[in-house]
Amino acid sequence: MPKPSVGLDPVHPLETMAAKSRKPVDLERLLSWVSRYGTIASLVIIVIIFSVLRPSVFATSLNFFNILNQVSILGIIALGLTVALVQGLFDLSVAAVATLGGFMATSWLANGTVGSAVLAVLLVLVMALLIGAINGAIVSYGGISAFIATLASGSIITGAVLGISHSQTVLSGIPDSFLILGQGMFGPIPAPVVFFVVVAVVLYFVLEQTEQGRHMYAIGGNAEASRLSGIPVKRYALLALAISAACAALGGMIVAANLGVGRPQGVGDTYLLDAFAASFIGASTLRPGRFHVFGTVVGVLLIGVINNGLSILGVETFWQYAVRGAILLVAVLGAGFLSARRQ
Amino acid sequence: MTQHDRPGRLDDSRPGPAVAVRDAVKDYPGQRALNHMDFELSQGEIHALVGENGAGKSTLIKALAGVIGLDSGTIEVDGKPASLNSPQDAFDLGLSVVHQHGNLVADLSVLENVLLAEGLDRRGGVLVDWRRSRRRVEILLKRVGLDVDSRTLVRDLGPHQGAMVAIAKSLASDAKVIVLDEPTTALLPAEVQTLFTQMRRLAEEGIAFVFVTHRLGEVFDVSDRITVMRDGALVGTWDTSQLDHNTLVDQLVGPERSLAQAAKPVDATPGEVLLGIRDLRGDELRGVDLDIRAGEVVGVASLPGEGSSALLESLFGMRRSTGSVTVQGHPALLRSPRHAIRSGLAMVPRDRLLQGLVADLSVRENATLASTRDYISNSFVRFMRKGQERRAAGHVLDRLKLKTTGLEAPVRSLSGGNQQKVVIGRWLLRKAQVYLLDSPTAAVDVHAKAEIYALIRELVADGAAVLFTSTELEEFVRVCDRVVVLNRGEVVGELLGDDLTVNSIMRLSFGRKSA
Repeated sequence: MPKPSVGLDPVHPLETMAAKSRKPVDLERLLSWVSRYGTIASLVIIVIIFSVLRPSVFATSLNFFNILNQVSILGIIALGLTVALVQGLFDLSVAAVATLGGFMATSWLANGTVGSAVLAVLLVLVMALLIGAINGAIVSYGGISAFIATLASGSIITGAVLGISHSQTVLSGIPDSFLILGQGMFGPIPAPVVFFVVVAVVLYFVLEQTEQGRHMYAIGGNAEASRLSGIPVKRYALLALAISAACAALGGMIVAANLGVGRPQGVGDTYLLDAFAASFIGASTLRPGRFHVFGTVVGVLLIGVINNGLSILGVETFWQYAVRGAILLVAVLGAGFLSARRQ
Repeated sequence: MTQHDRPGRLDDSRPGPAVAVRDAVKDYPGQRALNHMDFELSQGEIHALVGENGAGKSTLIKALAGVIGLDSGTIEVDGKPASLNSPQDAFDLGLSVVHQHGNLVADLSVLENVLLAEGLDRRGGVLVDWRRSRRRVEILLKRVGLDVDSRTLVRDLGPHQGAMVAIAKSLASDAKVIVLDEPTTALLPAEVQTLFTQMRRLAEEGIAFVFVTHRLGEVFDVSDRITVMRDGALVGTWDTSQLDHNTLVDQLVGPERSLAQAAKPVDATPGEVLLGIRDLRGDELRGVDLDIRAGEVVGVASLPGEGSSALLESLFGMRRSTGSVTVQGHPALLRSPRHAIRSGLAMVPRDRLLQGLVADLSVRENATLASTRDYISNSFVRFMRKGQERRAAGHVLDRLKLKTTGLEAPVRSLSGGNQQKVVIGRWLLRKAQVYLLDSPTAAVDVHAKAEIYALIRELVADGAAVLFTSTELEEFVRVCDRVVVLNRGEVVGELLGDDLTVNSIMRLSFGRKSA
């Protein structure tokens, strides 16, 4: 890690006291710096390393957009998940909802149930919002943890899609007006990147600038204190999981449009763990212990750059998994270190 | 078990009392918890230990349990000086403390709980010998008169059965002295009698009980002797037959204390009725009627678990209750905190960290948590207008003289008193009419307490009404215009003017109707 060169956040008085009594201040400050800026620094360093190793392939604008394109779908799903995690809700159904979204849209369009691509996309999003709201209702009014509730609902949805499709992939009849969702270009920018940016900006404003976002962070921090302040805590679980499901369905539709096929199986599964990883890396960026949009974007880029760079270097797939796991672990340990000391 | 095989009373065969505490002193910062306390417990007796909150009972019990050490003084067990430096020492000497909610693990069986400290029987030192363990536990359960299958989970037992399991657990580790810390709080009258019957039987076997309770009636029902503590010191020890209810209360309360009353504005013009309560009932409340007027601070006093907190929590929709409540003459629906807030009620909950604050958020965000709707740009896209929010929060927190490094500082970095001001500020920002303050001065320093008293007076000066509880009776006298005393969920008296003294509150809350 590089030496801290930028100004540090004002150090908390308690932290300073703890530092004096236990460890040299410099080490404390270094650790504190690492836990805030470590993930961003890692991203920069990794980009530099890959650029030096493969300047002609990695450090090109083509590859830059390539990476963005690759991470956009993961990014959209991870951002939705971030909203759920802000409230402390683990949404495991995002994988199944993504698969459902991609399959239903292509299937409806291919067999003519729905004539217009725009209508198909809207219908899928409405369906996802409903699924998320049902998840939230189970959590809030059924008193079941989100982890278990979404594990169950995800399994039901996976089964439903397989049943409806008879395990048949939608291969033809998907209109171009739908395919541009995944293959279109806005100038030099691929369409999925545009969606990623739009989702990030919208959710940034929702979480950081609106009343709902404030309430979500309050609930995530202390649900009982929030309830006693008059916030409708139960209803917010419906909202958070609905947003999470809608983002997952959008991600799934972009996958289908990108590949030009509607697969009834396994589409979302590839993104599930990476979405969690990106959110948790994000929660250890800048504001340790807090899930936020910017952090998740950093986490998504980190994962994307590592995958892309290691592929370009010709590193075996198993190394990619191992490196990703190691970075997640280091990032989360760093955040845990800082928030544990605050207690 | 050897203990079981011993014959009944052993008084003659052993010298001295089972436990003797002599000249015990324990200082906490700024407060002497035990002040040259003496205490003697004979074998086979049931000895009631009574005193008001903060009299030093729990400190004495902790010393006996080896949880804290004494600054000076001695503890003798069976006539021999004992060094109680850890709970293990107390355990080895046969001293056992059963707390109000038991020291039981709800998800384990009766058998596993009873042998939790002592250990299960083993076969070859490894495998659990369930049959032998069960036989042992069944003997113990028979001794405490508990007729349940030892495989029953503790969570499936009634509260009085839980108490008996806890006692059986003490017996399993050969306890000769068992301290019962408010064992009857959760029990119904019939269950209390069952507990007392078994205590009597065990006392005849030679077990000595220290029985800590607030319910004086029970003291007379079960104890052989009574020790009264006040301000960390011994008031006296009597045979139960020597005392009656009234003399005991007099000993508890002590000579009338002259307490300098904080200057209270004598605005003899109580406003309109802001909060009207009719026949409020719940798990702890048994029909409470009360009118609170604008401009008055009304204290609600009771022994723990006898209604004061329950009244505030019921009004705020935190507990189920029935009855009718009006706020400013309009019927209020108090099904949830959300409803209560909409009616104009505000709650400063007892546990600041668990119920009051969102520790991860800033001072500003905590202060405006209940009034976010006042700062939104429009009701469809609800952007927070942070400038306006910051000004409003800053204004109110200045008025509360909040000491902080800034509105954006994390609320956890504040002292307890300042944190409490943020919680109160939250309701000022919401423009609440009726403030429910549930022990608002708990765990804040003396200076902050004074500031909170002043703040409460300020609230009512502005036309609000305040319902107030505290664990310290002096505070009622200092802060309240009048105090309503509850005993077992019923209003037993109302005190104001010169009648409002610590002693009169205590008398009423102990259930003596003549104020």
